[in-house]
Amino acid sequence: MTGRLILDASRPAPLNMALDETLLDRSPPHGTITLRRTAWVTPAATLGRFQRYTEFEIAGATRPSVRRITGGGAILHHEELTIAVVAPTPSPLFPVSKPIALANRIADSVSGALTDRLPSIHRRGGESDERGQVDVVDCFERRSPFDLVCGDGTKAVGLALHRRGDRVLVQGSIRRAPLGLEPDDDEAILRLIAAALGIDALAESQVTSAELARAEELVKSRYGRDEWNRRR
Amino acid sequence: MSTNAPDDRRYTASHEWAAENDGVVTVGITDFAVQELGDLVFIDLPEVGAEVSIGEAFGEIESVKAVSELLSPCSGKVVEVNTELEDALDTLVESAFENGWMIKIAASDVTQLEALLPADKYAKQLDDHE
Repeated sequence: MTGRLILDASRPAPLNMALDETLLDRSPPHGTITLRRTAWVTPAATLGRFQRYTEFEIAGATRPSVRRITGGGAILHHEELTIAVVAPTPSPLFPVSKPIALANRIADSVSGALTDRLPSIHRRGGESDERGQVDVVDCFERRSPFDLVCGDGTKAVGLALHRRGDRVLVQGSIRRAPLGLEPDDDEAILRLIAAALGIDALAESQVTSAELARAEELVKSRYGRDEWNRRR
Repeated sequence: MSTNAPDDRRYTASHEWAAENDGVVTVGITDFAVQELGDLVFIDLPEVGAEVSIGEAFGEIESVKAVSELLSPCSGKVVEVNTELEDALDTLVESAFENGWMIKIAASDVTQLEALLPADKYAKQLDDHE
């Protein structure tokens, strides 16, 4: 299976979210997986699709914020490595479309990519208690069986998903400090994730002008609007 | 997993069910879909009066940090919404085919439902899936 690697330039938070949705909509239906390194022009926060904006404000976050289409909790994006993966499912590399299978598949691939950096990294496992976590604002304070954690239990990677038809978007946040990662390591880490996913041919690419134009439309209609970002 | 697909309605490949009565189509998701989704935490359904299009999302549901789109089996206008689901997602687990209905659509063209799967073919799809 082939892959497309986008080591994207720094962009504002609403445009970053709009680009991920554009890639989800425009990804080829068969055979290609897209991996994007998401970078931020300023520190920003993203909210999970169903999080309450007021709870986020109460938590003291003051950074520019935008609501994602993926689930889970809030992420403060600044020094972490943010990634997006768009893949067809069911497909050879994502054969089972149900959420827990997709989440475990991507978690195991990210874990496999990071194990040389942090041998103790592992999937938290255990029973799911999603409802017990919904009032926890910060993604990295939430607990889920497919969290990737360090040996001391500290959460190192947060993942959230959106399923649209026969495709899935995974947005991930990888803490740099526990892994000793520097921004210069980003490309190597994404290539390791691609390899762990089973992608055998990865072509570096840029966001196209058509994709950027579509994303800018989405900023105007959704991600740049309070009706979306403060809808809950 | 046992296959349960009542034969008084039709099914999408993405596991929504549609039951038509006098041009009004009641829509939900199958118990198979509910089990696949896992631990349900949120649902977002449209408001009465919203226009929906066949194959397009009419709502979203979150489970296991994954937001999954709910796809409309036909086009038309939403005439009723099961607003109780938002605070009672276990209803979907207990009664996906009855009390767990999601929306009712005044269909613009009920013949769109003819393209959906009858119960036996939907059940076969599930069997093949396993």
